Amino acid sequence: MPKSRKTPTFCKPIWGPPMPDAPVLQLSDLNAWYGESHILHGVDLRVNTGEVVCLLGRNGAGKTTILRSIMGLVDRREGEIAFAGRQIADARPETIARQGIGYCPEERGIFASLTVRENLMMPPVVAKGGISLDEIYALFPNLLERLSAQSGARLSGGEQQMLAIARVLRTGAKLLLLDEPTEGLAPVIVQQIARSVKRLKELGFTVLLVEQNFYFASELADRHYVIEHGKVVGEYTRETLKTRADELKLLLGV
Amino acid sequence: MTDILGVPLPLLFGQLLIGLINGSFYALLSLGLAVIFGLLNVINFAHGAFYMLGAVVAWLLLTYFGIGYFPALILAPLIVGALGVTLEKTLLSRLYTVDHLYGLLLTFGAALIVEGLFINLLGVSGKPYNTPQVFAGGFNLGFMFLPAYRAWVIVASLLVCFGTWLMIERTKLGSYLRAAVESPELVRAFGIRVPMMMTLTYGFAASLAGLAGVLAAPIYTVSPIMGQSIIITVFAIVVIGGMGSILGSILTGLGVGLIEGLTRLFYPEASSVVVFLLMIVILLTRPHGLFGRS
Repeated sequence: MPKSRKTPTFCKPIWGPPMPDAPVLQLSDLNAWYGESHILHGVDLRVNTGEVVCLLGRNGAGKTTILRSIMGLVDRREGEIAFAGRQIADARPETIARQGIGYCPEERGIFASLTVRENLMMPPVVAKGGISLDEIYALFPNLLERLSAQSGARLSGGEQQMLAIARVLRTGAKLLLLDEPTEGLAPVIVQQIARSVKRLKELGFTVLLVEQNFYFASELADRHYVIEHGKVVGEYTRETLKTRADELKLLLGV
Repeated sequence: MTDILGVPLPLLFGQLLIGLINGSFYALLSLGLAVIFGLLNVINFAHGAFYMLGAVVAWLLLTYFGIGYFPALILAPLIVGALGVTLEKTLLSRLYTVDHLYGLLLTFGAALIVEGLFINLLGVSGKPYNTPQVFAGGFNLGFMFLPAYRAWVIVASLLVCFGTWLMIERTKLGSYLRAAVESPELVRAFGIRVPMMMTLTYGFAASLAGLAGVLAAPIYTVSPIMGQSIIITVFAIVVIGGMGSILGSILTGLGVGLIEGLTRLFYPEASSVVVFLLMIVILLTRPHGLFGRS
C-alpha cells in the first residue's frame, strides 16, 4: 500500500462545541414489545448533544431493548422517540439509520461471510463528516494489521469490538448506540475501548451506552440511567454516581 | 475403435455432453434456488414454473410477435423477473413473519396455477422452437461432434453462473447480500433497504430461471410441464450442494448432470434415480450438504 498512513491530529470536534441541554435524542413514555411480551413500560430519557450517557441495570432489565427500539428492531413500539427534532418511533430501521444513528449491537454483529475490510466498508455513508479511514486506523491500530483477514470471524473479541465501532464511525452518524462494548473482553482491551470512547466524545460524538461493567461506565459517562423492569428507576450524574455508589451497587447487584 | 469398459468412446463423450447440458440448466436453476433460500429463507417451488415461463414466453414472442431468439434471450428473463418481483412484492413478502412452510405452500400454489393456465392455453404436448440460424452446424472435435448450439448453452450458462457467483463474492452489492443472509435486521440498522434487496433478489433468481428456459427451448420441446420434471431434480441438487451455498449449487448442478449422463451409459435403469440416491448418501454422511455450513 503506497499511501502513507500518518497519525492524524485530532484537533477540533467535528460537529462544533457540544450544546448542553439540547437533547439530540429524547424518549418519552416508550413502550416496546417482542411478540406478546411487553418489555419496555414507559421509558423516559434524554441524551444531550456531545454527551456520553450510560444505561445501567441487571440482565433482562430492558437496556438492550431500549437501543433496539431506537433502531426500530422490536416488533412493536408505542410512545415517542425524537432524534434531532424528528419523530422516528414509526420509522423503519433503514430510515432511522439514515437519519444519522450508528448502531453497535450486542455481541458486535461482525459478519463472518465478509472479509474484515468488507465488514469495515459495509455500512453506507449516511451523512457528511464521517471519520476517514486513516483516522480510524489511528484510533484502532490493530484493525489495519488485520484488514486482510478473510473472515470477520477470524478476529479476536476485542478486534471485533473495535471493528464494530470503527465501521459506524465512517458513516457520518452523529449518535452512536453501543451495546455492551466490553462484554467478554480482557481488562487491557476494555481500557483500550474506554480510551477510544473518550476520544470519540472529544471528537464530538454523542454516545448512548449499555454497560454491565460498572467501573468502565463510571469512568466514561456524563450521566447514567438505571433501568429496571423496562423503566427508568434512577438518574445519576458523574458526581452523584460517586457519592451514591454503594446504593447503586446494591441496585445493580454488583 | 477405443472402448472404455465396453463402451465406445463417442458414446461416452456423447453422454457426457448431454450430462453437461443438463448440468448447465441444473446449475442455473439451483443457483437461483440457493440465492432465494439464503436471503429469503423461502423454498421456492415456483422455480420450475419460472423456467417453463422463460421457454414459453420465448415461444410466444416468436410465434405471435415474430421476435427472435436473441431479443427473447433478454426479454423473456426480464418478463419472468418482473413476474417474480410482483409475486414477492404482493404475496410472498407478507409471509416472512410466519412459518417458512407458508412460503413453500404459496410458491407451490403459484406454480400450479401458472402451469395449469398454460396447459389450458397450449396443451401438454411440446411446441418446437427452432435452433437459431447462427448456431446451425457444429464442431468436429475429432473424438465427437459438438453441435454449435449446445456449445453455446454450456458457455453461456457457465458464464452467467460464475458471473453471478463473482458478483456475490466480490462486489459491494454482494457483500450487502452476504451480510443480509447472516443478519437482515442488522443490515437494515445500517441503513440498507433489505426488503427491497429481497424483492430484487427474488426477481433476479426468477430471471435466471427464465434465462435457463430460453436456453432450453431449442433443445427440449417447449411445454407447460417442462418445469415440473426438472424442478425435483434441482431441489435434490440444492440439498446435495448444501442449502444456500452458491458455489456449491453451481458445481453440484454440473456434477449431477455428468453423473446422470454416465449412469445413463453404464446402468440406464438408474439414470433417473441416481440423483436421489446421491442425495440420500449425502444426507446420511454430510447432513449440511457437500458445500454447506452448519
